[in-house]
Amino acid sequence: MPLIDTDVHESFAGVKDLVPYLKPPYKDWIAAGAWRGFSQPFAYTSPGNGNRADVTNPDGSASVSDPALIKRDVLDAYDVTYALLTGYFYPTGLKMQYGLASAMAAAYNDMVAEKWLSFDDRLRGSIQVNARDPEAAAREIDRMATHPAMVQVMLPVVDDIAYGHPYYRPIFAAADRNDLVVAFHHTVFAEGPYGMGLSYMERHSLIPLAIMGQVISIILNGVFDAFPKLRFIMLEGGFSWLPHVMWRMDREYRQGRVEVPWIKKLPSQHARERLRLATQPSEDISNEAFLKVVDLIGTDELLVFATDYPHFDFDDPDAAVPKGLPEELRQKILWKNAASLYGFDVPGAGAVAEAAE
Amino acid sequence: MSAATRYDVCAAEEVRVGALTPVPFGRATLVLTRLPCGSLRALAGRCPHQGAALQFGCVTGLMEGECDGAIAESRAGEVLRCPWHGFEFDLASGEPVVAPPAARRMRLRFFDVSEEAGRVIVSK
Ligand code: FES
Repeated sequence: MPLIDTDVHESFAGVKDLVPYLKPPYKDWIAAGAWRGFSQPFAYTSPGNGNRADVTNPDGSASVSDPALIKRDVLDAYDVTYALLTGYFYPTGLKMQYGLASAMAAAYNDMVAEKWLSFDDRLRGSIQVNARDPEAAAREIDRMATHPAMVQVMLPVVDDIAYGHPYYRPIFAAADRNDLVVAFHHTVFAEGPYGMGLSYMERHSLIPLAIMGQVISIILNGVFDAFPKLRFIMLEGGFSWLPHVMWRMDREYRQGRVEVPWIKKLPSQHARERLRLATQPSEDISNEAFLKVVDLIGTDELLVFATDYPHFDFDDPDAAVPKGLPEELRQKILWKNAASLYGFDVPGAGAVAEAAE
Repeated sequence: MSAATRYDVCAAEEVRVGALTPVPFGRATLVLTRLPCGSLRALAGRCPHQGAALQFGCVTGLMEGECDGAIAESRAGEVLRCPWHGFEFDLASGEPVVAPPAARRMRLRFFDVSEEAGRVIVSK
């Protein structure tokens, strides 16, 4: 069966790896060690310090800066048809110096194109931006969209103004005119409604709430209506909460549409048509519970598979999607829905689809 | 088919555009209003959502617009909003402005109504 992994984290060994791709004056700043890169405001508690403990670079560092590792552990290990590179270096996290942040996003994109996308033709890229400067982000999207393997824009989950705010609209406009998907992923600065919590476990349990906040924001602030072709994917936020969010938004829409008449469809309909959720991290629910959730979501075309390699909460494609699900649903989750989201050509897909019927 | 019974419920001048006029109707209440085109509407007094007394709702228009600060009203006098949850109902068609929840019917119930010699006649 084909397999599409929508969340694979490539990285660099350190921010100095960006120096060859940076423009002045930032090139000299980073080369001189003026900034050491982001560090998370908490400690990891998993055996591999946030990564799978069996994934290490030759130098012992945990980040996966070597494309050969992803080839070995993901592409070849599971015979992946396509894998979406999603990064975890999000310049939007800089609290100031937006010029530096935008330059680092551009440098990172150039590095991904040169070092990763050319390494294996199963890899597809996400355009990183500095969302704090939406006009600059839009220019970067226009620049990188010419690369045939760049298929989406990555928006890191922020801790203040959610992405439905009109301030970010140029980013969506750029994604729309370049026919790109918009992906959302949590960050080391994403927060739940009461902050990050007091333990890693609490922070990690709050991540879906941060993602829910973004879903609610972009639908209820009219992003889906302003860009009727644009499609959205939420990574690493789980999915079993979606029925509630859809029901709640629909109820609010029935009673409060007069305030937001630019929303032209039921929020749940927007979600079913153009929102996609990655299944990882799976919640170890039974076949029956899984089927109930899909039924409550109201479409079997919304969920897509992701491993989140090399992070510790990795989902194994052979184990994370329950084997007892109907074969057609498994195929949709493991590759068909993502192939249709990204418009991927899947070799032999016709034959596989027929065989499954 | 037996002929409908006709009820004289109030004076025609009591039913105005943009207003809701409750009238007793057996043990229930009917709500009357007049569309801007002049025709009357007589509807069952309870909201098809959770049963609020519609006489306490408001008659408004259809709010439309493409962005914050640019909302315009059209079809003034043709939309009823329920006093409880504020759902909107189209007084011309009886349909909710937003599609109802799955497997729910949520339409206003209209009665035949006419104006004869200055009186409002409801048939049932
Ligand atoms: S009872 Fe009328 S909208 Fe809920």
